[in-house]
Amino acid sequence: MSDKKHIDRLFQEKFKDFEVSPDPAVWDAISQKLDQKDNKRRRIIPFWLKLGGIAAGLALLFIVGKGIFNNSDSSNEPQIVEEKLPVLPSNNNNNQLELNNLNDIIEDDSLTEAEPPEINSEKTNEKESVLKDNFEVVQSSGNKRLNNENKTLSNNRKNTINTTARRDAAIVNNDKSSNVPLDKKQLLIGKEEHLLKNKVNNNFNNAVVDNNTQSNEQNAKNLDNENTIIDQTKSVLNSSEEAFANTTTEETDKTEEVENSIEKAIAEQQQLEEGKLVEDEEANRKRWSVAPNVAPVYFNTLGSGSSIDGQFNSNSKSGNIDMSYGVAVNYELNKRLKVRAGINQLNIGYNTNNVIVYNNPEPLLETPTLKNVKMNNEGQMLSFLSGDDLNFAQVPSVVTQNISSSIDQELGFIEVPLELAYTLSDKKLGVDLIGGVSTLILNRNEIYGSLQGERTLLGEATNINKTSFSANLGVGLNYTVSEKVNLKLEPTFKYQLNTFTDTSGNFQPFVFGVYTGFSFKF
Amino acid sequence: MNLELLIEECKNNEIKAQGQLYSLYASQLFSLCLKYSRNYSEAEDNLQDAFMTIFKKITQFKSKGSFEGWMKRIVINTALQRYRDKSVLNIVDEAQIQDVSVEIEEDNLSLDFLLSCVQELPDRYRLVFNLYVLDGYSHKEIADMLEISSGTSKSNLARARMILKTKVEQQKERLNSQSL
Repeated sequence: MSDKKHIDRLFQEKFKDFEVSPDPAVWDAISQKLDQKDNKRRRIIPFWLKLGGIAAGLALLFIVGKGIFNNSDSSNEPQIVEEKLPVLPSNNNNNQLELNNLNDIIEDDSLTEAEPPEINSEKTNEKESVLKDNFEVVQSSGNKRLNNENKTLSNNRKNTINTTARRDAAIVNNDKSSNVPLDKKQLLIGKEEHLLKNKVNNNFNNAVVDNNTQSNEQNAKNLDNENTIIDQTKSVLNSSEEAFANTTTEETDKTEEVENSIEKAIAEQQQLEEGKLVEDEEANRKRWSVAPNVAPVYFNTLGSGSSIDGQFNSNSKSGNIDMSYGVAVNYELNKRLKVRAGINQLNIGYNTNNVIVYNNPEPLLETPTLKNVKMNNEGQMLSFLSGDDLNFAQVPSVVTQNISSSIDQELGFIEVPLELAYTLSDKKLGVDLIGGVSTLILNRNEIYGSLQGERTLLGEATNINKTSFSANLGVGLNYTVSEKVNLKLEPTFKYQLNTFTDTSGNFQPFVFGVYTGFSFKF
Repeated sequence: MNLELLIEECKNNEIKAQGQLYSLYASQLFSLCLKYSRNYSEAEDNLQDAFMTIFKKITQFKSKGSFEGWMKRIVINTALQRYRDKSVLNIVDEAQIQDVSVEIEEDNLSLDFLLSCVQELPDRYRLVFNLYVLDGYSHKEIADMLEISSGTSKSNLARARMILKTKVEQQKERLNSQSL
């Protein structure tokens, strides 16, 4: 039989070894989801492993940059459209005759301008109906297209376009007022443009008309006045058909321009929306950072060879430790991947040791010179021999006195690195793997000879490419100082691909630098 | 199979390793899901969500603690998340009741029946009962996890016990009447 016990214990005991196998369908669903995720991940990793990934990085950077520049353009666009306002012909005799009539209209027009915008737009509609004949071309071609577009637009986009169109109209107003003292005809045409603009505006607004009765009454009154204006306008228009024929074509252009600006606005809106989607995923992250850096750099060759002359292939080379400094900009593509570009001044140099330098009284006579060096005047007086190749017993005493000189090659480059950094760890002390290429633009090219402790400029190397490339591989250590500031230490190996041409032996130049600096996120 | 190696492989997103990990722990974790859920299909959903979280977050698992415990916490959190969103947990209008001694006689009650008793409890009672009685959390911890006060936690536990007791006793009567 049973003992009395606490209900907790009953459940605890019963559930102790409780295990139920779930339906296999659960795992199927999980593995399917994992598969999708996995595919995404797998696409990213070999992407960077390939050197070709760098090209993709370049393209991405380009797209990002382009996006930013386009954004800044958009605010200027309406103004650009307005600057293209047609300069209208002002020497039409027929039109001159109508100046008196025009004056009246202008007065009336200025009145209508002072009225609230709703009424204004109503009147505009009225005017339009009268002016219809003259603008048939515009209406049939322009309106149809505009209407079509109207249908396809989403509400959001419509708003954007409305503001654009409104701004356009406002700018037309400004233009007009500044042109008041100019030709009257021009003014009228400006007015017509204004009307057309309003029409466009109305199309997009779907004829937003004030429904309240008060303003309707007002409208009715105003419309009475308007009729007289319309009559006048009619007569003016009839007599100046010719001028309007000109205007009409220009107006058609104008409409097209408006349309173009609308299309641009749509495209931009789309771009923005797409951009937003991407941004929303990781909205809070700061993606850009800038990192000034300095680095001691060590230059040497991997194989034994010489960039100067074949006779020095086996001579010992000692690399100089020079400085490189510059600034890099990082852009985070995602949590793991960064694109970096920058500009550095890179100074490198190395010494070819155990060179015998001696003064040659007859420089042009079968003396060993240096293959890849264009000598200056001083250099032409000197001869060079590799100490390694010489049997000292055969050497004149003047030579042995000057033993153990060196030839120093010093080069400077403007380096433009383009690299991808893959984050292995993003803890307080983060680790990145960095790979990329640098473009090297030569800006210093000197060869010195050390003769009896004195260093003299001999000339410049003839076998250095003005533009060359290096393949870079490095490890980046980031120490997070604060949310925005990282301390960076990046030992980087840069193998120079084609900096030197026509080298002797197995000359494989490389640069090793420990790049240090701070990066600032923004 | 070395668990540490398996975890490492899962960190590298190797689907085979993930499958192995699943088959090792699925039934254990599914029972946990069943206790915390209203029904079988909700438990399946929770298990799926929990494993997705486990595979996603496995890189953050440090080999210090128990891996099993780590997974259980994820499963429980997944289950709690479902109700946290619906804010059904923090109902404060009920008068807080004191715990009373709830003793019953042991009998041959089936596990299925007991599970259904737990599942039929209102969410706020079921979660507290599971956390406190079956998974050994303190009222303080439960209060933090469910974002309620520990008084509410205690009160909910007492109500859960009373409901369970009633159900168990009713079941016993039914069984007795059948056997007679």
